Amino acid sequence: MNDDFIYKALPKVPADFAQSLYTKISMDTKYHSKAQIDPVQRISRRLQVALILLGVLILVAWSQIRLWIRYVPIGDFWLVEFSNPQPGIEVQTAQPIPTPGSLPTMIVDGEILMLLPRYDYLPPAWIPDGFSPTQLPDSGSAYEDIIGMWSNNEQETIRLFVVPKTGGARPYALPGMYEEIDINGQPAILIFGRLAPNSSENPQAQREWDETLGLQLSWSIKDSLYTLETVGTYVSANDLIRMAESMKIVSGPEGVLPPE
Amino acid sequence: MSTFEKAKLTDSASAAEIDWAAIYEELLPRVYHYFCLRMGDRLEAEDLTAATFERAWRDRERYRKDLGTFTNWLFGIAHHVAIRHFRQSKPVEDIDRSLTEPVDRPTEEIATRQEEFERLASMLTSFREREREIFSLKYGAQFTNRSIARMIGITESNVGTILHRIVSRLKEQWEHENER
Repeated sequence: MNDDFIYKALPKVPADFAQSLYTKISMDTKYHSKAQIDPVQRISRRLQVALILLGVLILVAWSQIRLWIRYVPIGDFWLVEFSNPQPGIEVQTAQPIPTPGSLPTMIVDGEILMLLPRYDYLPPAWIPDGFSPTQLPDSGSAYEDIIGMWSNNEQETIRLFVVPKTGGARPYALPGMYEEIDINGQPAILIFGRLAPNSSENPQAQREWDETLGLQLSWSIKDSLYTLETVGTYVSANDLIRMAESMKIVSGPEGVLPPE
Repeated sequence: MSTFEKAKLTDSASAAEIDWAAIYEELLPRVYHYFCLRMGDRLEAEDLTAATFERAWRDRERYRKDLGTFTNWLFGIAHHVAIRHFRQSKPVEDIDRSLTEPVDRPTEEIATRQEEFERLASMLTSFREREREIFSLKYGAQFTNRSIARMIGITESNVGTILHRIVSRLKEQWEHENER
């Protein structure tokens, strides 16, 4: 079939169009970029993106932690206030300074006194009715680090321990479960109750705060944070405060033999 | 030598090298004529040709030799550019007119050719879109009947029949108008 008329009718490609299109494509760096990205540059860009994402993740995580934990200044020490104890999250508890079990203890004027090389011992001049000084637990028991202990006939106890203010653990409580007070003019914190122990039936269950699990009274003297605590409702808050206020420094700054 | 000329097209299989300058020289008229016959308008054909080559250049790393020839790949792009153009009823990527408008006065030969193309384009408007597509692939893009059949998804003989019918009608009209 003769179809020459079709080919003859086809227009030639305009030379200026062909040239301008060629120039446009060859000079347009936008189209070069994909093929000419330096691999090092590409890795660098990916690293930048990864760092930005990491930063965002850290910010998000930090904001979430801030929702759970707040540090409340109490004079020259801090209270850890957490809003919602989560299962599996370890809450830092105030651990007493270890006291070597080999240190001798002695009873002076009815008080148990110890040789404490790092802090002052504060013998209370007043203790609640029915309580008397008791022998500290032997080394290896749960109470080996307690520096003072008083008990009554019901085997209810008041314990005293001390931690360093710098680097030591801090008292903790839920909002509304503590009260800021002062002991002999020093800022102090009175905490009502504590986290209940883990359930043996369900160790992963969320630990609940129990107001009936005693009182904790913490206040600072020099570089140490002192805490008096009970584990039940047998001592009132006023009695615990009175006992704390009756405790006076009786030794030098580095802790020497208690007075006889 | 420009970046365009130095560019190499690679595929994962053979890292084949393609000379873009040669490709451009060979395929530009075919793409341009394909659009001329499909659109019936030279300026639209220029716009769509430009859009096709720009996209091909931009996406050159996606071309895989093991999946087909570069010509087929390029006309695949042209096909999509045309479809997009029909949907939008306006040029896909309007290139700078100042660069494409003819600078010189058309010679007598060019003027005659333009006139004949407009006659042909006018006749083509009476055909259905699918027929124009096949016709454009044959006389614009210069594909064989077999290639067109593979592209369109019909038999080679069917392509031949359709083309025969179109050309017969065009020729009849062409000669009829020439006699007037």
